[in-house]
Amino acid sequence: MQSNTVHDVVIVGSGFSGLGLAVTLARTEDISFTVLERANNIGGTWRDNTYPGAACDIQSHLYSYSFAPNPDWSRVYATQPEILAYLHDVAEKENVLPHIHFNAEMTEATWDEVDSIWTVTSTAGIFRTRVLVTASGHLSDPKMPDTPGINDFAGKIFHSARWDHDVNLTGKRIGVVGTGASAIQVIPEIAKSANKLTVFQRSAPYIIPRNDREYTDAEKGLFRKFPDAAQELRDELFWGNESRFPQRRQVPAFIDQIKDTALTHLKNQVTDPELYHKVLPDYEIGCKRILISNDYYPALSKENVDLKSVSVEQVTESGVITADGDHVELDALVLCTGFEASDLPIAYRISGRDGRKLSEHWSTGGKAFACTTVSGFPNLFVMLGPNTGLGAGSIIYMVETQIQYIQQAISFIKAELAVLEISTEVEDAFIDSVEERSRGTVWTEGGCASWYVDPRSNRLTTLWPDFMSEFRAENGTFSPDPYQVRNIEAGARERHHKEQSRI
Amino acid sequence: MSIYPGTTEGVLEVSDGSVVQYFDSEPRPTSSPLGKGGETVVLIHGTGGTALTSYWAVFPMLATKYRTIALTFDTSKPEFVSLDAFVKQARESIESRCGTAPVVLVGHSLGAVVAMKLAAEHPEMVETLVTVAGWARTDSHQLLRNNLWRRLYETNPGLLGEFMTFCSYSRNYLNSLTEDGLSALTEKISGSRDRSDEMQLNRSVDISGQLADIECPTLVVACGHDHMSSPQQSQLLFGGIKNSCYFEIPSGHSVIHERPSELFIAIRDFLRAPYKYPAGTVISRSHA
Repeated sequence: MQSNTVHDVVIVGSGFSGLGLAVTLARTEDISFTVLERANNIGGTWRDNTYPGAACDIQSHLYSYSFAPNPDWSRVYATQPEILAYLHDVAEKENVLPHIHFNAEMTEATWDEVDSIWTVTSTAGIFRTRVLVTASGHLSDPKMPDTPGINDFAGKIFHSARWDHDVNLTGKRIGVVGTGASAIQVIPEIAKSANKLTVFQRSAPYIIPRNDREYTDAEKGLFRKFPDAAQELRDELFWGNESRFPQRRQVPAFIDQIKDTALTHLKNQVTDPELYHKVLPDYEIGCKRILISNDYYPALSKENVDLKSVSVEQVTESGVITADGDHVELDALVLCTGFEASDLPIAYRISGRDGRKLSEHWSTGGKAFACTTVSGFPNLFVMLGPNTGLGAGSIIYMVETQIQYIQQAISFIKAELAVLEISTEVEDAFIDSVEERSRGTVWTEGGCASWYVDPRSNRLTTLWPDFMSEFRAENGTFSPDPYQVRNIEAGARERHHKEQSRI
Repeated sequence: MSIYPGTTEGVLEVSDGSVVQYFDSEPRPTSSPLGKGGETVVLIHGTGGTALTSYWAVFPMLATKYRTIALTFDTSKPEFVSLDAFVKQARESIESRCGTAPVVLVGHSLGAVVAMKLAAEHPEMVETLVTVAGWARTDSHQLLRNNLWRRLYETNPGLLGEFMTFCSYSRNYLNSLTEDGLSALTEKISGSRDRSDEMQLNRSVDISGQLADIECPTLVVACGHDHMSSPQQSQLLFGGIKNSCYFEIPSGHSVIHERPSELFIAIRDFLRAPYKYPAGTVISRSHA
C-alpha cells in the first residue's frame, strides 16, 4: 500500500504509551494520525507477557490512565489479563482501533529533508507523515542469552515474554534462568505442578511484601459513584512512590527503612540457612529493581524446587551445565532474561537528516532532549526512550507527561507548518544535567550491574534520576524556545496544502 | 546518622546559654534547570521533634535542590522553652550559619508558630515563609486534646504512643500500613523525647496580633485531615498574613512523614515562583 496521503502523525506501537497518545490525539480536533502495530493486537507489554502469574508491580489505580479511570479494578495489583482487558476497553470506548494498522512492523523510517516528511516503510506499506512518534517501549524485545549450546537443547525452550502455552509443564523437569521481575512471578506458578524446578540465579533480588488484596464491591461502587475517592487513592499511591525517591540517592534513613523491610521479609519467609545465604543480595538495595512478592521465597522453599546461585555455562541436548560442573537434566527451559533496554532495536531502523541512523547517534547510549526529541531527527518524538524509566513509580505518569508534551508540540507543528529540531548543544546541556543528577545515586554507585546503566558508556541511560514531579515540571510542557524552528519551504507548503485538500 | 550524604552537623551556642544542634547541606547542589535554586531553606521542628526525627524525610528531598539547614532546639531547661526563647535560638543559629542573607523559613506545627514570630519580628531575615500545620491562637479543640494528653502523661504514659499516633496521622495513611508497620510507628512515637514543657507552652500560644507584621511571600500549608492543628487554623493564618497563598494536602498533622514528597514539591513550586500566585491564591493540587 502506498498513498500520497501525508499524515500529521504516525505512531509506532500500540502499548500503553502509543495507545495513550492515540486516545489523546483522537480527542484533539483536526489532527490526522495512524498507528502502526507489528503484532495483530494492541497492548504491547501486556499483550506479550502472558506467562503464568504475570501481574503489575504498581497498584492498578495508579497504573492506568488518569483520563480513563477504572473503578472496577478487582484488586490492588491487577494481573495481566485484567490490565490487557482494560487497554482493550479504553481503545474501544475511545474509538481508536480504526486508526491502527495491525501486522504493520516498521522496517525503516527516513527523514526527507526536501519535503520535510518522514517516510515510514512497514510490512503493511509505506506511510508519509509530518511527525513520527516511536512508542515501541523499552521492555518489548526479549533479550536472549548467548550461552554456548543453547540451540542444541532438545526440550522446549522459550522466553517468558513469548510464553509457549502449548507446552504442558505439569510433572516435568523445568529450568528457569533468571530471578528478576518476571522470574519471581512465574516461579511460584511453575513450582505448583512441576516434577522438579531448578532456578538459575545470577544475583539475588531484594524483595519486599506485596500488600495486595481484592477490592470489595462497596469500594468499587464508591469509586464509581464518587470518582474523587478514586482520585484521592491514586494521588496517595503516587506520593507514596514519590516519597521513596531518596532511597535511590542513598539517604541512610531511607536505605535503612527499605532494607529493614526487605530483610525482615526474607527472615520471615526463609528458615533454611543455606537458602537464606543464597538469596541474600550482595549489593546495595535499589541498585537493581526492588521486587514485591509474597510467594517467591515460599516457592523456593518447596521440596521440588532447587535454587542454584551459579551461572549456566553451557546448554546441552538434555539440560544445562552450571559453573560448578553440575549437569542438570531438563525437559523445558524458561528464559527470564529480560529485555533489550539500553540498545533499542528500533534505533537501527530510523534515519534522520543526512541519513544518519538513530543507533549511531546513540552508539554510547540513548540521549534525548526533554527525554523526547533528538538532534538530527526533526519532528521525531520518542516515547519511553532515554532516561524515562523509574526505580519506584508508575511509568504511566511518565507516559502521560510525554503525551502532553508531544500533543502540544504536534499542535504547534500543525499550526505553524513547522519543522522542529533540537540542536546538539541544547541536547548535550540537557544530558549533562541528567548525568549530574545521576551521580551519587544507587544505580551508578550501588555495586551491581543492571540494565539501567549502558554497558558501552557506563551512563545511566534508562532511568530518570530525579523526582517524577520534576520530570513533569521540566518535560511536560512544550515550548518552541529551545528548538530550531523552520517553516516548511514554500514549495513543500504548497504541496502540503494540495494534499490536505485531497484528503 | 547522616541525614543526607555530604551534610555537616554541629552545635551553636546561643547568648542565653542554650545550645542548638544543626545539619547543614552546604554547599548547595548545582541548580536544577528550573528556578534559580539559590535559596537557603531552614527547617524548624515542632513539639517533641528534632532536626532528624522531624525532617529525616523532607531534608534529603530539599537538599537535592537547595542548601538546606535543620535545627534542633534546646529544650533541656524550662526557661529555654518559650516562643521568645525559640525565636532567639532560631535567629542566632541562622545568623551564625548564613550571616545576613535572608532565608526560606519552613516551620511545622509549633515550629510554624516560631517561624511566623521570627518573620514578624525580623522581616529582614526571612525571604519566604512556609507554615506547615501551624496555628496562631490555641483553640478549645486543641486545649481539649492537650488536657487528654496531660492526663495520660501523668496517669498512664504507656498509652501515649497510641494516642499520639491516632492524633498525628490520617485515617487513610494508618489504613495503608501493615500491622507490623502500624506497631512500629506507634513504638517510634512513644519512644520520642519528653515534650511536657512544649505541651504546656502550646496551651497559651497566641501570635494572632503579629500576623499582620508578616510581609514576605508566605505559603500556608494546611493538612486536610489534621486532628491537631485543623485546616481551619491554617485558613486563619491565610486570612491574617497579607502576602500569603494557601495549599492543602489531604494528610494528617504529620505530613512531614505521611506525605513528605507532596510537601516538598509544594515548597519547590512556590520557591520557583513565589509571585506566580497573587497573594490570596488558593493553590490547587496537581493530580497524578
